[in-house]
Amino acid sequence: MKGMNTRTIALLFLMLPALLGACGGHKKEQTPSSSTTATAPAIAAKVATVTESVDGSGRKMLLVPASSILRKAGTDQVFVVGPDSTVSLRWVSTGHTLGASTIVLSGLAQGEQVVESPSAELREGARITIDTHTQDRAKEAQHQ
Amino acid sequence: MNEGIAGRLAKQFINSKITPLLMLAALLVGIMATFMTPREEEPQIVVPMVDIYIPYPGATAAEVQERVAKPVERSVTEIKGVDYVYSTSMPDFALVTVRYKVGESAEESMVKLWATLMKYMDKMPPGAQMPLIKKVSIDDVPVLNLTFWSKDKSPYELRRIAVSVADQLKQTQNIGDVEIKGGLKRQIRVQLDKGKLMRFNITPLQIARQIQSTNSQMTSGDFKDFNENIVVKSGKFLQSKEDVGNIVVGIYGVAPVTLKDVATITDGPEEVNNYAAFGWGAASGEKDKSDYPAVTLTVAKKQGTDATALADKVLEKVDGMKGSVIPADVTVTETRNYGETASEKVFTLLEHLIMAVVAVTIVVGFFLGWRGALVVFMSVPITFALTLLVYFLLDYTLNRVTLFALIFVTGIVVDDSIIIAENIHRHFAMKRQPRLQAAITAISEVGNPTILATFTVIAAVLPMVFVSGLMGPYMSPMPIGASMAMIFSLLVALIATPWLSFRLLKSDEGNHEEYDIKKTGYYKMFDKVLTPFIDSTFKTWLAFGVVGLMLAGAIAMVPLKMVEMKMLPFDNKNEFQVIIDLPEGTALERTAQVAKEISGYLKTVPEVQSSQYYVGVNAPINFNGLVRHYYLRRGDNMADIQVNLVHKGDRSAQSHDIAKRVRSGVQQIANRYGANAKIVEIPPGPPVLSTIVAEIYGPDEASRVALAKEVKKAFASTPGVVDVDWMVEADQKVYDLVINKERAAFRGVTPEQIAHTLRMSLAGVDVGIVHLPDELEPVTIQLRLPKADRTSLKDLSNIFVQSQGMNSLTTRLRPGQQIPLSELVTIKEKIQDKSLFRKDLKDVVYVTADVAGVTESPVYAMLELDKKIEAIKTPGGYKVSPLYTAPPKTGDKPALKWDGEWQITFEVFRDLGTAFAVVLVIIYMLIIGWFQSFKTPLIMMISIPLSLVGIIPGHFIHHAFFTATSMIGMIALAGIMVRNAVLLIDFIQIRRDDGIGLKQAVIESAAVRTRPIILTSGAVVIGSVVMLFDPIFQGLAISLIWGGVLSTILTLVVVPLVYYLSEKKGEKKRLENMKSA
Repeated sequence: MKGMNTRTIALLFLMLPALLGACGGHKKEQTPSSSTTATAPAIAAKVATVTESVDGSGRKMLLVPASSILRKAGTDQVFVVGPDSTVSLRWVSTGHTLGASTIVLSGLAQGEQVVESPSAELREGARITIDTHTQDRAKEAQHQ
Repeated sequence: MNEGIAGRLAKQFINSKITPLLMLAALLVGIMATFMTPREEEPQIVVPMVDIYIPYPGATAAEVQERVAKPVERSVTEIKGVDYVYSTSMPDFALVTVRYKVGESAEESMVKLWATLMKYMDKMPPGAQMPLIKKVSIDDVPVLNLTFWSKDKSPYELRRIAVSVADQLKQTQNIGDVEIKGGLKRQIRVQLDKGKLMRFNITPLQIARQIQSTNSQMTSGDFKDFNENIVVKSGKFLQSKEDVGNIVVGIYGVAPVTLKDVATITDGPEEVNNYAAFGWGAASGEKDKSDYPAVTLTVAKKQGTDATALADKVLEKVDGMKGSVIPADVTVTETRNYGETASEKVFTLLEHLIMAVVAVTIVVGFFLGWRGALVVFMSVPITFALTLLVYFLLDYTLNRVTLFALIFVTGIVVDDSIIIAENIHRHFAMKRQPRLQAAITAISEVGNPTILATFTVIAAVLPMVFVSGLMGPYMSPMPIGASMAMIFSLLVALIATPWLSFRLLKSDEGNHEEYDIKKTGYYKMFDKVLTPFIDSTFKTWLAFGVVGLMLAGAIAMVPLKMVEMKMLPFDNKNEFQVIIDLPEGTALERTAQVAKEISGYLKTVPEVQSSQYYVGVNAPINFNGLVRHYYLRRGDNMADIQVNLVHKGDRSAQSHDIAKRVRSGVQQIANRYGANAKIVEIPPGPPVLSTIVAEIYGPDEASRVALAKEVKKAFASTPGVVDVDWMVEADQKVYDLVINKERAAFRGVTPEQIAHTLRMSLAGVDVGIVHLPDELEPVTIQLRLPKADRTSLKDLSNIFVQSQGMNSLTTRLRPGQQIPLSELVTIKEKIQDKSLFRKDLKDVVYVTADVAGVTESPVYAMLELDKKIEAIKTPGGYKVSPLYTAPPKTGDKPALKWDGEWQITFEVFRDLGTAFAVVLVIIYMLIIGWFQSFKTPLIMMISIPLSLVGIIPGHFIHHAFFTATSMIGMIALAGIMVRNAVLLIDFIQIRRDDGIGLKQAVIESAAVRTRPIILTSGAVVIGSVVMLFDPIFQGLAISLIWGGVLSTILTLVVVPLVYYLSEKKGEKKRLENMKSA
């Protein structure tokens, strides 16, 4: 059994990295994912506020401009303006349309802002600038 | 020398021409089996579970429970083989779930169930309808999900595309259920105009009747004329929107009134009842982070078929449909492919298997040279080839567990070949006999102990077959595969190894010293180590004391929580789900808003590839959903999110860590909306209702709910306990329209009429289908009030019903008069009945939770909770002590029993513990049979507890849980360690029989046996290293590695010492006896 020692040592060396390598899991460097939030130019849009109204019999209802609703084969969506002026699509359920306003049955809350007549290029997550002209109209709507 | 079975076998085959052919045949058969055995990721767990749905329209939850659920429960409990019976009673409907003992035949169970139910059908209350019986099986879990999404198409169009794809996919071989989640179906909607109905004096009921009677066609018969049969048909089915619109529903004055005069008729999407959307996540690399309407096509497979082959075939077909059936603006994204993951898992494991074999070969090479290594290397594939064939023949699939069984035994199956090859090597080196004779002598010498050793190890692993419950079939391939492999390895060692050794091993050339054991390094080492202990009894006891302390210290790590126990750790998967529940009564759009926001947050997580949310409809279920009944999740207040992560190779975080990380973010959003969101991962083992389940029993519902509320609070305040929920629904406001029966009678209206009219107006009624042969999904005709006209109670009350006039009780009214509902009903507001639950004939309320973070093992959370729960004051002043193993015997006191993962953990560790005890007895008996002594086996079995010295600290070093697989490792190690002790003591006895003194014999045998012991243990250790990186089988690897290393070292020291101590007394007498003899 000459050379037993060298063999044993070699064997231990073979085992050690395997055992130690397995201790406590294996951590690789995490590759940071490149953030893709490109700052696209803001799109000008008219904005209206969801208002609460009361009908003749004293029943409360929420109204949005009829033009803000995107209708597509059975489903209705509106662009809701978020706190940082970015818009997101929201599913809504709508009732009757009374003149220029539509009753929203669910999906929106009073005081939320929706984009009026959204342009075709408006996409989820886009930033918008609110043009003042719209502000006036929103106020008008509230006065009515 | 007596040749024994081993020698005779070897003699037959060592020079036979048939041996290489047998080897080749075995290899080929194995390769064939590898490709023919179906591949899947998870083993097929048969959970024989049957859902019985019994509708009982109009009844309250309590009534449903009393009249329907209880009798059915009682009757099915009588069936032999039924393990658990659960029931849920809701208003109008009961669901009874029957779970059979694992292993019961599904078909037989169904027949028994059907027969029993039918026997009791006459006891059902009038009004209860025929039960719907559905078998639930693992094959209901889709293996492939394809999400169809588009920027321009609507859910309606998407569904139509998916339906036509599904129709073509159905022709694929081995395909199971194909389902479509989300989207809107085509429907002819008849939206009634209340004003016009009023004007033309027509009621909804009348319209329904007219549509139904118009929509008929039948063969009237035939007549004969001029030797010919002429068939007469009458009527015509409705075939279009126009047909429906032209139905005459009444006569006003002299003019007929058609349906289109009183209603708006549309042919298109049904009214929205779900929202489903798809969006790319941060890891996808896509810039567009919007959600798009989507529908998901799910594909399930047939039992026992290959998931990979099916998924590939389906994907190929779908690819072929792109551009034709699937328009260019619709994207089809794979959102689940278990075929791919299965294939990947199987090939990774096969790779690991090869690595293990190579690693073991290298170890052998160090001791026996490359020729010896080659002999061992060639015998392993033959062993595995034959084992794979057995898998194929036993209808096992190639999955995680079956393949791990192979990796697990790699280190063990080489042993037989090593022992034989080593001994042949030794005999060749001694050159005392011609080569052939030397080989046969070598085999005869070690053959029989090898057979014993093999059966010792089989005895250790085989009792694991008896693990009961859901874990049983999950683990059974381990003992069966391992035992099979052991037997084949023995055969290979006795047939193939001699043949290979005879041809490959060379006799050592060159000068040969006289063999003297005292000159070897091993001898010098053991002489140095063992002599002081042998000479001094004090030192011996000191050594035993130290080892004892080490053992005590190791065991103490468990109660000190340095090593925690857990059933199974989470695997690294590519998906998880979020289950969102809003309070009952929440509108679909609001639920969608919450789901979308949570999904939006999840998409920002760096590892998320894509996310799909399903609102009002359940997401394609996974293994968990099967037991948790997620496939029944349907309601405006429910949403599921399916989160797909990037491939595990492309991320460093484990899926469980990602799930833990996102939990707080998800729940923050959910809390803002008063929603409950749970992160649901794919369970590593059998699925349970929830990781922690507290079953709360008590005398009445109120006391149960009261206790449950307290328990829920205790849950929420315990760190590490997350996703707390209970199965008590929120109060939902319902309007009860109470019919004034007297007034209704006076006006000639029946309560039934009122109920039907209301149902038609609100929920809508499908009054038939339009007969379109080319349409793939049935197109129903639905009668309903437009959404805008049913938004308030006021809308409801001005619905009209028609007086029946002469046909009713009253004679004073002319028939056909329109009477507003508001005249006949009074409106009462009340709270909707809540679902009632029962388990095994006892009323129960469930509180559920998961564990993550501070503690990962439910047992510790439960112990923590015990203290808090015992402090709860119940109304009756009772103290509640949580129960662990069985539900309370009586129901008159509030009680709590832990269930969930604990139940399975308890069963598995109980069964494994029992198996371990049986293993010890069998090993004891085997050794008694061999050594014919009652004392010697006990000395050998000392090495079994010694393995704990390595196993428990090993888990601590790796920060791993002591899991069920760790326990399996410990049991298997018992077999291996006893075998080592057998080899050791066997040799001591041989030397002593040669007349050598006890001390000398002990040291010598330790020295001689060290090489084979280290070689075989080393093979086990090295073979297990590849398993360390699998989250589930890590415990097994740690047990085998650390337990193997430590107990091998300790065995080599402690066992000889104990043997010396026990034999010291009789030594003098024995030597004298030998001399006189």
